[in-house]
Amino acid sequence: MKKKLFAIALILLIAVGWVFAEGEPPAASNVEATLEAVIEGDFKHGFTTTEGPYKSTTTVENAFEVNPELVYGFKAQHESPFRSLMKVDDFTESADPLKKVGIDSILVDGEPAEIAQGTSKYLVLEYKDSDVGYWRTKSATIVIAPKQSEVDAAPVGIYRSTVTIEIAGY
Amino acid sequence: MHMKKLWTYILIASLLPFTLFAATAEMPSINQPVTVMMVGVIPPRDLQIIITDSSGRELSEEDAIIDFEFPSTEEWEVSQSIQFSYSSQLASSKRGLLAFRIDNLAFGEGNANALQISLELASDDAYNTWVENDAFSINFLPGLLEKKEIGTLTVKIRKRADSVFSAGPFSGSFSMSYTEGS
Repeated sequence: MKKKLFAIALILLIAVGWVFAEGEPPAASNVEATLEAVIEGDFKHGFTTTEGPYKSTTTVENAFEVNPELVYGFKAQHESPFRSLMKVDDFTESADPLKKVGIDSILVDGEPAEIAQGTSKYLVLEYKDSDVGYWRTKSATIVIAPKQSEVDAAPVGIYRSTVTIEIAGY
Repeated sequence: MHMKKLWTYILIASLLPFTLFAATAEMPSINQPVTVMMVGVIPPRDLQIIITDSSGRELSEEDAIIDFEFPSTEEWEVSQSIQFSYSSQLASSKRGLLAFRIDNLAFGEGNANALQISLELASDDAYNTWVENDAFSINFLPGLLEKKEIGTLTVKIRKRADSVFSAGPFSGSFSMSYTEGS
């Protein structure tokens, strides 16, 4: 038991050793280090679910009965502009990936989704030049429609499609 | 006392990152993509056997009357064909037996003055439909199928020259049964 306690104390010392690398600092140094971590962690993006906004992952059922509607957003204060880019995979059957159902249309806030310049991904949201340095909260509603003719003709099975949104610079 | 304070700083400083990590664990950072899994299910659809008459009209249980008009000659043969097909969306193939039974056409009560009827079954799909006596043995295919042909049943009624029948309406019944897995 004593051995374990010693080991933990040693690890903690190593982990925070940098804080005191230049001698014993005033208490304010600790606070500065903490603030840096907070700024990093306050960038949020993700999907709104029943559990709240900015969730990193969620699942939408019954995608062939009702066109999936996703609410995506970010809250950010950043030093450079960026874009939220989306990739939507075809539906593939769990047991046989050769069985597919394609995507018919993607709407972002009611408008057909556009491919972001210089990429092969759909543009969802932008943190523009004029936003740089300011807190911005933006969101968009995305509606994805599978190809109905392919749904009608698809063999029996459970089909899954992954929607991925990533942050990228210009 | 001074050392005690130092140890307190060490402890707080070392625990803070863990606390922050726990608070932001579900919040993806700028470098982390976020994902949604969309799930759609194509459920199996059971067999629907469709019967159509020679004019292409679908016959239902309430509307399955086949009319014959007999010629007024001494010897004759009349026939009518009905087609069988099926619609389904099965996960895997399955076998079934569609068996037919037809009673002779009788005039009034009893069978004394009855017209004999014969059945002929035929199918163009030799790979999936086999004729066994008065039945179709079918291999129902998986996947979405709309009005996939099973075969044709022809009902024939023949009168020989030496047969004598009363004039008037003759009636009989025709039935079929489906057995899965036969």
